[in-house]
Amino acid sequence: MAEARVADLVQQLSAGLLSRRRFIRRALGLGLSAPAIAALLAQAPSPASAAPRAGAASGARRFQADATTLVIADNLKDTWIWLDPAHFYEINSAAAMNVVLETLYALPDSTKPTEFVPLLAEGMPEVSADGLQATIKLRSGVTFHNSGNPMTADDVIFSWNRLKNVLDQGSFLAIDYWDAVEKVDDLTIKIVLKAPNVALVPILSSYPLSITDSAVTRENGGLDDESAAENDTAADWWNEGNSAGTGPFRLTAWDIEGEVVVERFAEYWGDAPALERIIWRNVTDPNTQLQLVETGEADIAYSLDPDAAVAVKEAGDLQVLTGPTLAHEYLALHTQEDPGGPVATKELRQAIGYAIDYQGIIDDLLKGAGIKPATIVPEPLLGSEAVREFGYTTDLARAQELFDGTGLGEVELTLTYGAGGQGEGGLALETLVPKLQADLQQVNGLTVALNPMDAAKRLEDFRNGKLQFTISGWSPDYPDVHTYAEPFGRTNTAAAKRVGYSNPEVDAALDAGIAETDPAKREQLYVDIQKRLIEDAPFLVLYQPIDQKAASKAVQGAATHSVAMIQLRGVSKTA
Amino acid sequence: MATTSTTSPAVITQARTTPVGPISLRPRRTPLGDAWRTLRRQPVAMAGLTIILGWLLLGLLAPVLPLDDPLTPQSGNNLQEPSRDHWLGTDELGRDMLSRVIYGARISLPSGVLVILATGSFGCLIGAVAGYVGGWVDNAIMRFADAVLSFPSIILAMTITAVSSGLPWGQNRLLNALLAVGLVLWPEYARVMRGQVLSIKTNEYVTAAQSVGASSWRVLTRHILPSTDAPIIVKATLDVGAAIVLTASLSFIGLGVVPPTPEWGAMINQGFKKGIEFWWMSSVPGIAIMSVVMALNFFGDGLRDALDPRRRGR
Amino acid sequence: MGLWRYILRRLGLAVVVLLIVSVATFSLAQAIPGDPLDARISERQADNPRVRAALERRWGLDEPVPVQYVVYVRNLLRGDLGESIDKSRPVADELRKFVPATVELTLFAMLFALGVGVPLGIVAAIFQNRWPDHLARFVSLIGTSVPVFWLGLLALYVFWVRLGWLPGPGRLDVGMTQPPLVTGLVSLDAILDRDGAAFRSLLRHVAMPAVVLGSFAMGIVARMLRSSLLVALSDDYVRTARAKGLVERRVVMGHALRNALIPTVTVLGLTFASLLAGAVLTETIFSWPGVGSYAVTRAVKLDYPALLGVTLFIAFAYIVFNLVVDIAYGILDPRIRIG
Repeated sequence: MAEARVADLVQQLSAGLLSRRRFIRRALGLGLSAPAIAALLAQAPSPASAAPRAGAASGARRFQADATTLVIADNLKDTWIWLDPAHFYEINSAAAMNVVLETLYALPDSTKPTEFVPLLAEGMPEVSADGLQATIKLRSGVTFHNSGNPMTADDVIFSWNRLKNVLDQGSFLAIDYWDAVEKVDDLTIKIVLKAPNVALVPILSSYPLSITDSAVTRENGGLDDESAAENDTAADWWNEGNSAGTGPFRLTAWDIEGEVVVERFAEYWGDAPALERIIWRNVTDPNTQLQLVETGEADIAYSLDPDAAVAVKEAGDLQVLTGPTLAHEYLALHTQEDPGGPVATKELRQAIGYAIDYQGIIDDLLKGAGIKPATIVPEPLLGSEAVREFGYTTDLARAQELFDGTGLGEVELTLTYGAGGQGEGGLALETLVPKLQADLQQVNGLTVALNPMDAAKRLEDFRNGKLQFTISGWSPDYPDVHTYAEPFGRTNTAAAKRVGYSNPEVDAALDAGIAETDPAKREQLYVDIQKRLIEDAPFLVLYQPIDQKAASKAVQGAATHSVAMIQLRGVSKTA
Repeated sequence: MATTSTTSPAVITQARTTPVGPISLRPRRTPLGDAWRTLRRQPVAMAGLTIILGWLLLGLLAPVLPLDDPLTPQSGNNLQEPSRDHWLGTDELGRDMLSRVIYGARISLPSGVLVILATGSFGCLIGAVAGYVGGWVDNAIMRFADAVLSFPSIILAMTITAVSSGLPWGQNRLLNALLAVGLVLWPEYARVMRGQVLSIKTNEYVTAAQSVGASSWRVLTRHILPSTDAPIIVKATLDVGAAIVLTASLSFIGLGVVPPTPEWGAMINQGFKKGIEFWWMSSVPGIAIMSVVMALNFFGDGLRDALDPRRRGR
Repeated sequence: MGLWRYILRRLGLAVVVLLIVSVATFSLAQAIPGDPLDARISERQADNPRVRAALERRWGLDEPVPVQYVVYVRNLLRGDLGESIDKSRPVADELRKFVPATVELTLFAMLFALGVGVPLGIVAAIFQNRWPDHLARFVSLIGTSVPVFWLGLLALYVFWVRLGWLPGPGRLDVGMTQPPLVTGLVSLDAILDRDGAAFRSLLRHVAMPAVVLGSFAMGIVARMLRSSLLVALSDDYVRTARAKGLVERRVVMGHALRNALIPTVTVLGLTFASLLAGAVLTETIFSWPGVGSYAVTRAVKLDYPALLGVTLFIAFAYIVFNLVVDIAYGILDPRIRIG
């Protein structure tokens, strides 16, 4: 039966009715193995489907996707809001932030999460003996886009105070860690910390702390005092396509229903980029994004669903940029009697941890585009690899044993999830959740009811600690273990609060961990924290997705990045 | 067969501009008995009825038919094209589409009928009161109905679905969607009914009843309402289809029923999200909805002819 | 009642209805469980009272609800529809951007509905109860029965994925720049700009969504026209025309059609507004950048300034259409004015 359908598929491919990618997708659906498909492709005459689709060929274009212009297809309309660092807190547009604006430190390659380099700083911070003062020399000869003003300590202080006072999403970065930022001289600043902080460099690499031109921002409605929350209007000025950063590209057009364009900045302080300009085009549908890369109208497709990724790799005419993310999808189990009920029992939470078929989720649903970190700290952040062996693995016997040991009898849990939502890595929750339900019900005596809830309502309930059992995702603020261990571990903070989790030993270890300057001792502290979180099991991490993006083979030097999403610095194209 | 077809919007306009209903001097008698004989002679209407009954029967028998489980994921079996094993293919979790679409009939059909029964009765009652009482009550009710009608139905329904998710039964998403559909559709019944009542109110038997001292409620329920059933029944039949489509539309944009419940609109949404190359995922429930709505239209048109004495036998 | 008094009365009623619509939408939006800020605020900042307070102040959410409504209406009268919570942009600007796209799609849908519906209706009436009639009625029945969202998917699959005859979702080819904004309707702007490529691209892109959206209206037009033509054809003056020996074609086209079109056009006026609502689904499927897809994305995020803006706009369009139809009736048929 399958053979007839394979023959039919091959015929369609030969007739040009199916592109190679679609052919592979369908063939995979028929259960064919990858080598078998490759063999079929080799046999089949080259299809005529390489010809561009109807409607794609005609039309006047402002820019061609030539060797100096890089075109990225992304769903700008729904995921971008602005590039003003005082308000920026989005994910997809981080790629543009990364080339238009600059922070004091940067992480060029996110597969090496400790190798930060100075960007607008000159060298690493000098920290006082008590760990409470950090002095940073700034790079000289840096000029801003549009105005040509040189960057000074005043710009740094203005930018950070503005972020602090606009009281938007990223403001915590300028509020939580220091009391004041002082000017030592034109090119030196001193940060007066609230507590010793070994994560200062990773924190200073986060995009909301990017430096903008204080004079120009002020002229266009920017404020850095307390009235900023009400009266600052500089974001509108950015959204008119203006640029006040220092990066290798400056923003020249901003229309998120159409195109966002950045162009090479001639007076850039560092190496001149190989590209003349980068264009982001608004293309909502991931399949269409990929189509455009196939027809050569775009160079990179931002979103690539796992099935499509397998097909693209098999077809071999495009490259797939692959790299780890620092995001994860987790189950949250309330640790208090109200509303936790049975899941307030630790052994039941552990039983659930052993009942889930993690490998099945990664292999079948993510098509291999994911890994399973032991707990809430994604790999390869500090200590995550050391605790790998302690994490939950699928062990139904152990799950049953733990479940029976609770003496709870028949247990029915309600798994609440955001209706129509997507988990990290683009996996539809409606696909993931029935799988979890089926896995958990393998435990005799355990039943799981599914409770789809409007996304905003679920978030509100979760944040108010009202959900017994739910599924949520987490994405990074900056690449350091602390930004995970703290919100998930510390009593009464973000995620821990939502499941009523409190462990004084974890709190103490967190206090020590952020102040510990000795790397080995610091790692040990975070290993302890993670082991306790595994043991207490308020959170069970299902997977950490691997990012995949389709790109044409002409693109050189592009890589996925766990914070910037695509590292575009240093990208070039062959003709 | 001379079905002078008009669709539901036409019915509304007619009712609004030319409020002429079947006028009978024997208000207790319903025309249904006569109608059945006429109806039976119309092959198209009977075909519609057969399709509807067929779906109902399938839905009713679903648990005893040799069907796969419509809910449990069957790993390794996902996204199969229609084949001998799975006549209508499988979805992304390997569940049999045939089974899901038949179980879907258990949801879509009864809920369409129930919601029209509820909203129709409510709208009729409101409209009858407005028409009978008149004055400012009439004005207030009808302006409110106008306001509801001027909302884009799907956007109003979207908002109501969201609001009702906070109600005590809020997590029953099907009920939320049906509530929204019901709240959107009642004004049309109110309008039709009001027009009918206005025209009947002046009839002699009504004035006679009033003059012998019958209470308003009695006059309304015993003398006026029974004379108004024909156009309302036709409209209700046609609207069951509209209600099914509206419920499915809500599910399609992700605000009504969500998977794994095999509601037809939610199934189309699933197929849409998965990618249109897996055409069977959205086409199977799509054809199901279309067949039901079409059957209801066939039947409704026939019913209109059968119930309308002026058209009978033309 | 005089004509002017009638028109004034209808205008007054329209204002009352709009007021009810605005109160209803506003209170519905307030009643939605879930905090719109939660949809916007990040995990890290969710528990920061200062940030939450600043955001609440920004959208006026810290005021009591009746005050919020008064402020809303006051701003509304100045043409200020507030700022969308999801995107932090003025809703009025967003509507200015999205409304023309919806109007354009709706006009093309209407064009299809008339271009196909009118001939179908005429054919059906002339050949009453013969096979062209049955065929025409079957086509119109399909149009009114098929759910728009599935028809859209089917059309995309057949004409884009399989046959490649028409382009996929979107308004213009990707990367094609819009002609300079004059009317906001790309078709008109392209003509004004003498940009043939953009015009052709738009036509190819609009074809599928317009047919899908217009199919329901097409069915209605055909059925309406058929039945009113049948009535007209049996009228006395037509019989007189026939008796005078006019050719059948001239009888139908010249005499009967003119009369039969009046009720059809009336229905059409009402259908146009319902098309605006139907655009919600069509735009979602075809990624058409109009108010419909805008409403859906914002509704999911409880962005109620945006949702209110769209609802008021469509309700306004509907009321204006009704008003025009009513007034036209009032002029044509003085008896109506008493109602």
